Amino acid sequence: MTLARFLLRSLWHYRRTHAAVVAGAAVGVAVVIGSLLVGDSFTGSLRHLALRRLGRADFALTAPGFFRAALAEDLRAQNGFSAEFGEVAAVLALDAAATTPTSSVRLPHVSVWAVNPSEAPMLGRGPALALDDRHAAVNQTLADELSLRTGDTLILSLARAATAPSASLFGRRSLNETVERVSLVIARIVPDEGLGGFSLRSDRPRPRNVYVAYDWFARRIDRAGQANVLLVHANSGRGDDAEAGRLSAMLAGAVTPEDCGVRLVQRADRHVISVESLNTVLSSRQVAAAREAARGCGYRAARTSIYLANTIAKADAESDEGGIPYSTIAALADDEDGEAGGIALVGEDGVPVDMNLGPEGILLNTWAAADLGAKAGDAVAISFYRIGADATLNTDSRRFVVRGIVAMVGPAAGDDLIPQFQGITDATSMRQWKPPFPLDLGRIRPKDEVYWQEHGAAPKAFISPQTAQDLWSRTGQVESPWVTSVRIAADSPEQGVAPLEVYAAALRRALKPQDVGLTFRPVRAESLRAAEGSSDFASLFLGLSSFLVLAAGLLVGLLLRLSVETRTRDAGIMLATGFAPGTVARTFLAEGGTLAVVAVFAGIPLAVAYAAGILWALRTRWVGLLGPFALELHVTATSLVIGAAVGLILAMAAVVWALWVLRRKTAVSLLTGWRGLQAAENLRHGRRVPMLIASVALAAAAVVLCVALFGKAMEPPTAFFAIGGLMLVAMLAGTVALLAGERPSHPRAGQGLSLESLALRGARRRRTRSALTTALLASAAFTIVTVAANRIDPTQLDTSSRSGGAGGFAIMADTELPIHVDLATAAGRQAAGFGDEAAFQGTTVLSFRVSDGDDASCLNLQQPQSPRIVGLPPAFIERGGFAFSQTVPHHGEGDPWRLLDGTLDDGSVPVVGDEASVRWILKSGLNRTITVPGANGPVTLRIVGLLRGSLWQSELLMSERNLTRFFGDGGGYRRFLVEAAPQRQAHVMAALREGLEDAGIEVRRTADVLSAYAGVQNTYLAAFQALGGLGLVLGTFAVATVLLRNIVERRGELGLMLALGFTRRQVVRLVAAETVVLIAAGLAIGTVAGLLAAAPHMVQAKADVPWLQLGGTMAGIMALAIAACVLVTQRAVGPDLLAAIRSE
Amino acid sequence: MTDASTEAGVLRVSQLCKTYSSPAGPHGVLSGVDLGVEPGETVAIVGASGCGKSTLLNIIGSLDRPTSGTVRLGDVDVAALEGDRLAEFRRKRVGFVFQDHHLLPQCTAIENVALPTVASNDAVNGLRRAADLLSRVGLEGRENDFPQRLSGGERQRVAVARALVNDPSLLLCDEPTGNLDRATASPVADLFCEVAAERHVMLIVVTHNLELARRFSRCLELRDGRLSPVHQP
Repeated sequence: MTLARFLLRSLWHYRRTHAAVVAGAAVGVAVVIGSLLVGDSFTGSLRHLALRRLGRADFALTAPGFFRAALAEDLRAQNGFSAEFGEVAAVLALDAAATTPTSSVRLPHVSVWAVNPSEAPMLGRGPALALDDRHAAVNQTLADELSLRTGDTLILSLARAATAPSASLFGRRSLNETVERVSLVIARIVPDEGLGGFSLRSDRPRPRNVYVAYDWFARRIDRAGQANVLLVHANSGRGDDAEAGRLSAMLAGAVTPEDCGVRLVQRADRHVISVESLNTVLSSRQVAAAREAARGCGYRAARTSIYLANTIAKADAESDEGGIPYSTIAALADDEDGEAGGIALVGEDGVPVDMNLGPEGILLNTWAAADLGAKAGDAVAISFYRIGADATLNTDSRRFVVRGIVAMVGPAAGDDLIPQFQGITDATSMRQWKPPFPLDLGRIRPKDEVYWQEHGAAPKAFISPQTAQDLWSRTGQVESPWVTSVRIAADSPEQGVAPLEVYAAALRRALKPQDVGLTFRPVRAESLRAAEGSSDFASLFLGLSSFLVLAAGLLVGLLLRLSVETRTRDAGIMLATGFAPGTVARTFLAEGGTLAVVAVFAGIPLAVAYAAGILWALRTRWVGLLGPFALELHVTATSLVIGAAVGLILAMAAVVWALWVLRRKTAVSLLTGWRGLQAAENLRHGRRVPMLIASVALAAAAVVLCVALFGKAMEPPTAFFAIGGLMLVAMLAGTVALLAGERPSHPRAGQGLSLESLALRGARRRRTRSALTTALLASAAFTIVTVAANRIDPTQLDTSSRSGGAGGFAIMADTELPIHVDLATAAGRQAAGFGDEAAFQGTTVLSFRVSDGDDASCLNLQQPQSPRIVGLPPAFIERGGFAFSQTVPHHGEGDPWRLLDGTLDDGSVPVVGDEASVRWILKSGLNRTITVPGANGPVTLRIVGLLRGSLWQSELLMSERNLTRFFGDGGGYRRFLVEAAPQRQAHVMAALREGLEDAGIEVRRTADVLSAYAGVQNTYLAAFQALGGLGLVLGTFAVATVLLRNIVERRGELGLMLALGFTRRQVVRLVAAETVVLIAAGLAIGTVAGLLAAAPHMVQAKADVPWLQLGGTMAGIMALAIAACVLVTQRAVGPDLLAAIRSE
Repeated sequence: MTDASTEAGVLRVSQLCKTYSSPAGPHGVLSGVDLGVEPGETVAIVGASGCGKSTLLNIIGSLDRPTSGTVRLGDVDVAALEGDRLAEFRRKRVGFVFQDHHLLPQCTAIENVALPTVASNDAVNGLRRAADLLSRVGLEGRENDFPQRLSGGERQRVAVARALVNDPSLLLCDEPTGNLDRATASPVADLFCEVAAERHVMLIVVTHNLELARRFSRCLELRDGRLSPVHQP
């Protein structure tokens, strides 16, 4: 007989025992591999979603404004573009709210895609989109949500094309002016796959899409020939950052100033080029570029600013009635060399006037001076509109001293200095003005009309640049854009300027596309990155599964060790019959290895089934967790190999461990079998080592606990795992110590033997398997307890307290389209069009600007690449509220919200975030930085504070001033919080819904918002609790295995007890009690370790632990385990046990 | 039915048969065994391996059931006992000593001896009695030793003490010296005879050892399923 044959014979002979071992080990391996597969499935599904939602687009340019649709052609014409990229599509993409004539539902988050039919394939495969005017296709999601059918009417609310910032005099602010309704007829409903699923946002797994014909739609919304999204397909299929860089370089060669929001106007005399903004005022970057281009051409550049005076009057005039109505006033900014860019204003005597006017100086033109009867030294008052802090229009006035009279010659004669103001400069008479501000046409005099006919909008007065800045600034702000044009001129008028194209070329070089937000993002690469590091459920699942995996590992080890133990006597026989110890070891290693391999292969299909079961539960039972996300099973070879390797290593380690224990045993001792060996071993096992381990682990856990509780210098997850792990090690080592060191007892009267003491000794006899069983149950109990300790009771959420998760706000509203006035004031609400001010009495409303970005909360399953940012107005920072769990050190007793003021020394922008989002979704932490794209390039955010359980889980928070400075004004306000007494809340909610209906408003009670977050968190916890339950299943499996094994091993012993007169009930009690001791110990250890691990969270988050429920759960588990033990024992302890004693 | 725990008396085995099923058909091991044992009487049963000696002992001790026939100890029909009454019978009326001592490794010598009293919730008194018995079997001072620290003979003495702890009327020993060498076996055999005489118990010993068997008052041979006297030389 060869060793191989011996091995086969042994495997066959012990097939029943081996089958049980393999089955148990396979379950353990299945848990290990299954946990990895669940992670794979999340990542794979997100990856699938990421790839599916992008169609053929690898790069996307999403501009903050609009550019020429022809830019796509210009880009295609760039050298090398066709070879590397091939396809490009210019698209109009707008956010909208949608409804139907018969629906009371107005859905926000609707994306409108206006695309040429030939370019539609860029958005994904689908039916041809040859749509007639007013006809649209919608995707299935939107059709379902609005119950749309072909031929139905769809009404979209869209942001109206704006030609000036809303927070400026020339901006439009009321909903009627800023939102327009577009009525469409549904021509086709496209499936959500391919074209219908296209989205550039990772946080909308099931987008609501509307597709319209580009030409008709662009005309309809006054954006003919314009686009705001460019989509590019890369031939390589990679779409990486390097390609994005080359694409951006090509873009720089293709853009025109107009694409960058700048218009060049050359005056008829060709002496001057005016650089004007398409959005009324130039940004600082545009101004800088205009001046740099001028320097490059050798020209002078003068910044000019035009404002509108409602009245220019002598200061002693009794009312506006006597003044000049509706006049433009201009400021000319000095160039670096102190001159006004070559613009020379001269007095009536032909002598240049002093332009150094200071804050109180003013120059009147001859017409205005004559009309007012004013002369140098006189005081004049100017009344004007100023944008208030709430973005409403207020009337203000200033007094000036006339420094001189300007002759109406040169630039002061006509409207050279005046850029285009829609509704004003295009009017043929003043009475035809259609400005966005109130106008009293009755004040316009005939001579004013004459002036308009002769001089157009030529300024009647000149003020200093500082004064112009002040006029353009909103109340309380100093950084608003104020330059309406940059006037480019030669050193001398005689010299003239070069053709427009020359300066345009220079400006194109100076004005980088990225300076105005024209940057290609590698959307496919980003999306795949987001999918790779999804909202951490995959890694969180693995993390929380680690205790289950540990339990599974213990089970695998336990069973394989039991398998080797059975063969101790065989090993003794082999040694006694002349086999070398190495040969014996190899034989058993081969046998154990065979079992391990079989277990691994048997475990793989079980793992797939386990993962499929978990995913099924996630899709059906825990649907709130996933929302509309379609989770599919993905099986990767990597996970199978890793999981199998882990299972194999655990199994083999257990075999090696068991063999290691046997390595120095003599043949004689092995011949006594495992029981005899163990009896002898028990005499030698000391308590010292396990006690030492227990003490060290306990001390370390205590230190970590103190640091976490009082020092607050430790990240909660680190503290959780450190304390949990150390406490488990400490208590399990303590258990091993208690089980070790059998010592002779000295029974005395009254300290007699009992079944219970015998049971305890029984447990101590097999200390390794007892310890493993205890550890297994402890792991499961630990998971269950920590989950329960973190559970949030949505009914207990505090929304009334300022220090609660809602900060004392009762209502939260979000609009799809920005609201251009601050609803914090009655004036703002009135300007927004609210009719029922009574609804807001006794309430406090705060408005927030919101930057575009990804949802940073647990509601977004993907890793946000650029989190959404909310700007906190000064009133919010002043008010305070909410609860911080951690902040960076700040001086004195200042409110932590003050940390958001200004910028930090390293140039980063301070932000605050909700702890859960920052830690788990953004994978960041306190005082760490995140770099996100800003309006003018990347912006580094530093997290200076973490909020506890707040309603700010979807975004990061920074001061409104910083938001406006680094990210733009977001177009207006899109988030509103209302502090209202309970009896007023329904009124306010109704008023908000009614007033902001067209803006696609979503109004929710903050309790519902918090409840939604808590619901997701609780769903996560439910999933993890299920893992704990599975751990308990494994634990029960192990307990049953050990129990049956003990009974089998001790058949003779138990038979003897029956022979000695013990009743069957007593024997059952004895055997079950041994196991119950282990169950109780395991549950107690897991519970204590879990509570201590969760202690920092419970203390700091003031967690409302459901003690009764937790106690009930653990007691129920204990009761079930006892019942299972008794049942198993009752079936195993039968009269046939006597056969054992008889046969022996 | 009389009280199984208190009724004393003689052992009467009548027409005891035991048949085992096997693939080859029923196999009779005992074929009408008759045996009567008086209190204080010591009986040795010898026979070839596999002849059914241990089966007979197990049936007498209520560890097995006969196919037919009766076993009565006093007024108790042993084969008719069930459940707790059967356990009580084993606990109070019978003492077993096996070839393998069957001591619990987790219990000390005295605890092993006192083990049957745990079943009757009388461990306190049991420990006292166990100490006396250990002293009686020559193991004074070894009470707190675990079985693995005892020699084979000492373990068997502990087993004897355990069999006597509840003061049974019937002591059944199945090859009690089978694992012992001659030098060790002899004192153990002496011990059986001594305690049987002292306590006036019925002693039935199954053995291969004719030398041992000759020490008892009667020696019976089991052959072909029946008992027959062995004439002492």
